[in-house]
Amino acid sequence: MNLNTKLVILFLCIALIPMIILEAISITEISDDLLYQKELALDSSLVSKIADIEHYLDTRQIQTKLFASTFLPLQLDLNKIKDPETLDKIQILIDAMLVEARSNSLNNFGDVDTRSSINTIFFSDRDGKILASTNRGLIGHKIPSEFLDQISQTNYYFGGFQKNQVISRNYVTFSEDLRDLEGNIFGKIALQTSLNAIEGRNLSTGLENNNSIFLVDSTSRQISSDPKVKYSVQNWNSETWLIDRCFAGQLISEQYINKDGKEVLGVLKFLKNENLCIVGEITLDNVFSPIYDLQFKLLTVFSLLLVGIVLVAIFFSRTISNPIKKLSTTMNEIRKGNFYVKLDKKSDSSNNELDQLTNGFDKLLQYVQSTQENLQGLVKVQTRKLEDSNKALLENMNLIKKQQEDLSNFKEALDKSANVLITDISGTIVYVNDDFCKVSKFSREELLGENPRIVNSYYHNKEFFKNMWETILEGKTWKGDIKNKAKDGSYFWSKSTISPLLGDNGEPEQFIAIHTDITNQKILEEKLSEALKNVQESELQKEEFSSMMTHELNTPLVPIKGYCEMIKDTDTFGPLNNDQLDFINKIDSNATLLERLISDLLDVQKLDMKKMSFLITEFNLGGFMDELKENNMHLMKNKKINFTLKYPKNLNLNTDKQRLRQILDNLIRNSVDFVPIKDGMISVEVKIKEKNIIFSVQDNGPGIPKDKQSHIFKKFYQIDTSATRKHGGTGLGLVICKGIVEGLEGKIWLESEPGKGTTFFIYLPAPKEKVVIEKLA
Amino acid sequence: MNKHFAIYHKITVFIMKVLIVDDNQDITGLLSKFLKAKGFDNVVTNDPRDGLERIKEEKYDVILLDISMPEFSGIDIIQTLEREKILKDQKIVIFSATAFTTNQINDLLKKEGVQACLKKPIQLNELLTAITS
Repeated sequence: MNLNTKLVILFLCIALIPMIILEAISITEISDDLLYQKELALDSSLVSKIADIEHYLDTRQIQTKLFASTFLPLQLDLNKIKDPETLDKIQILIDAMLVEARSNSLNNFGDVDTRSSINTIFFSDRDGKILASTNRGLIGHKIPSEFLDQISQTNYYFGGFQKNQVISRNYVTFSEDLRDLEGNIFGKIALQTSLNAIEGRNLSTGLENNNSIFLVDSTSRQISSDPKVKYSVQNWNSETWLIDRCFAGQLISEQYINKDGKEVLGVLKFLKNENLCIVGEITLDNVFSPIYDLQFKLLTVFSLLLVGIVLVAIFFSRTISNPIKKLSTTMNEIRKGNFYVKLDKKSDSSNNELDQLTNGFDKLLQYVQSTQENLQGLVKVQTRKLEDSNKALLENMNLIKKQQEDLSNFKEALDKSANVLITDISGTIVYVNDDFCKVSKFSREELLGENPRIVNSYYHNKEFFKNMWETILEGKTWKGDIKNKAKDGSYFWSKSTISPLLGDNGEPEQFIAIHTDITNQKILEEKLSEALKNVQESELQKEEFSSMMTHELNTPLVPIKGYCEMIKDTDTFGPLNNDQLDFINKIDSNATLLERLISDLLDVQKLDMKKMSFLITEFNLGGFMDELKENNMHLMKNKKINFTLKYPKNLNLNTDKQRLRQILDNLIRNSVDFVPIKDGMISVEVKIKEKNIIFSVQDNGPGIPKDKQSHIFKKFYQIDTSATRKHGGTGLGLVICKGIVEGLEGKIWLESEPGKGTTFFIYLPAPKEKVVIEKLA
Repeated sequence: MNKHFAIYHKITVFIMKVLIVDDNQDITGLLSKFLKAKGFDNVVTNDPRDGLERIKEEKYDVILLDISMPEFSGIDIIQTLEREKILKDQKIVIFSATAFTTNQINDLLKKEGVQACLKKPIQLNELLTAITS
């Protein structure tokens, strides 16, 4: 089966199967619906017909009773009716009844009556012998016994009679017994009416043509005025069981084949009062005729659709299969080796996948074609390239030769610029260059086969060489400066780079040592470090200088001052005259000044070098102040100065006691020099502010002008230069004071106004917390 | 006051024997004359090593020792004595040229057997106090 057929079938399946299913479902639905509707219609028709029939039967019975009542005034009895005169009267009465009934029929019974007018009224005796009748032909005849039995049971009978014969034509006969005053039955009156109103033909009036409604009695006889339908023998249907069921009281709605051999839908209802069954039938052809119409129309539409779909399917399958066929043909051509086949090129912008496939194939084809061409070109090119590369190879070989030459040149250059030494893995020298020989002063023959230890100067320790060997044996490069010893015992320094030359297995096979002679550089370095050492030494000497100076300058003063003191000790060493005592005092005081000057100079130097050290100890302020007072008392006495000290009791200080003394001595001595000769006053006070200590030294001297206060802590500064000698200071006292106070992390300042005296303040911070904690611990 | 001192010393310290160790002859001369005048028996040496030998040989009531001496200093002498465990038997008064007590001097003063430190130039009355206390 080719693709086209498959596609067509596929299309059909897709389009038709759902339609067929849909149709089947809808037709089934419609048929059910139609059946139900028809059934309903039949049912309602039957109901209305039943009403008609009952109405008819009721009215006729009532009429019969009315007629019977008209006999009452005649006061008849069994005997009287044998009287011909009476019979004449009865005859007249009956005739009058018929006339009246027919004339009133329109008013009284409507159109029912027109179709079922009273045919005959007759009067019979008790035994059924007709005595009077509107149909004179019946008089003298006896009502057939069969007929009579029926009437006596139901008051009416579907049928009529003529003479002695029961006829089944279109008659219903109603009868009523007539009684005398005593109640004895003396005769019967009967109305024989035509059956038009309730026979099948008329029952079906007003229904659709194909509907038929008829009545069936309990013996399954169809009630009909149709001469063809024989009353006595006609079974309406062979399916008597339906009738049986109907008479059993069931409502029946069934499809069956009726007496005419047609398929019908029948509805059967039981009229209980009349002991009848009413049947409505409609042929199924009739019921389903709209569906047949619909089916026909659908079939037409389906056929048209089928044709359309087939056409469309064929068209589409062709649009798909044709290009494929074309492609396959092209491919076959290509397989045969014909690469120059042409394809119909489609628009590139086409959305059609097949067009794109075709284009793709076309491109592929073009590519193959161009590749074919390129290949041929390529072979040519490659051949040319091969020739070229041969040429290049030759050139490269030349280049390699040249590089080898370069390498040997490089080696030469290296040989010329550095000392090169190569050893094998065991450290035996296998190569040295001329420069190395020159520097080491060994000949090449002496060096080859030897260990580099031959030039060891033993300047470096074993660790140095161990480190070097470990580095290069690991395959790394070692760099360092080595001091070597030449053959003649002189030393030479080299900056060395020792690299292992690795073998194929990655392990070192040889070591190449490239040395640069740095002997001159090293000599310079050595000189430099020596110079540095000298500088450091001189620094040290400078430090030692102070102690040396102290010693050397103070030593001559010992005998000078000592002998002065001894000479003045007249008790021990004999008396002096006043001049001699004056001279000795002058020598002594100048020696003392010299001593102080030396001490101050050394202190200043220490401060400048920042080498002053402090000895911090804990001491009692009271004891300290007592000593201060005692030591300065002779100065105060000489000038009769009022010297007062104020300080808190029981206070311990943590500072350099001697340096503090030095400061206070200095300040007090200054004050002593400047207070007036009379009423001089110096007051030393100690105050505590938040554990910090403030010393103040107050005097009532001339004071210091503001503009000079900032200069007062400068070296050799004297406010009044002319007073230098008079005061005998060194000009260094306050400088040292300031240096010491700052060394103790304190502050020194002054408050002064000319004429109001001067107060110096010394602030010493409280010992740091750390110190306190240590002490507590 | 000086009178009192002198009389006191003449009487009570007559037998006190003082060793003076200083490389400076002028100083030893001064001290020797002064002490002799004040009634102390004294021995002088200008050689520190000799001083050390003398200390080892003989017991002195007071040793006056200069700290700053070339080659073998007063500190060396004290350290030797300490090593030989005879320092604590001595009463040494040292002279220091430095005006202020350094840590070094302070350490020396902490040792048992080192009595006092006098700064140069020496005040002779201070010297007397140091010897007799």
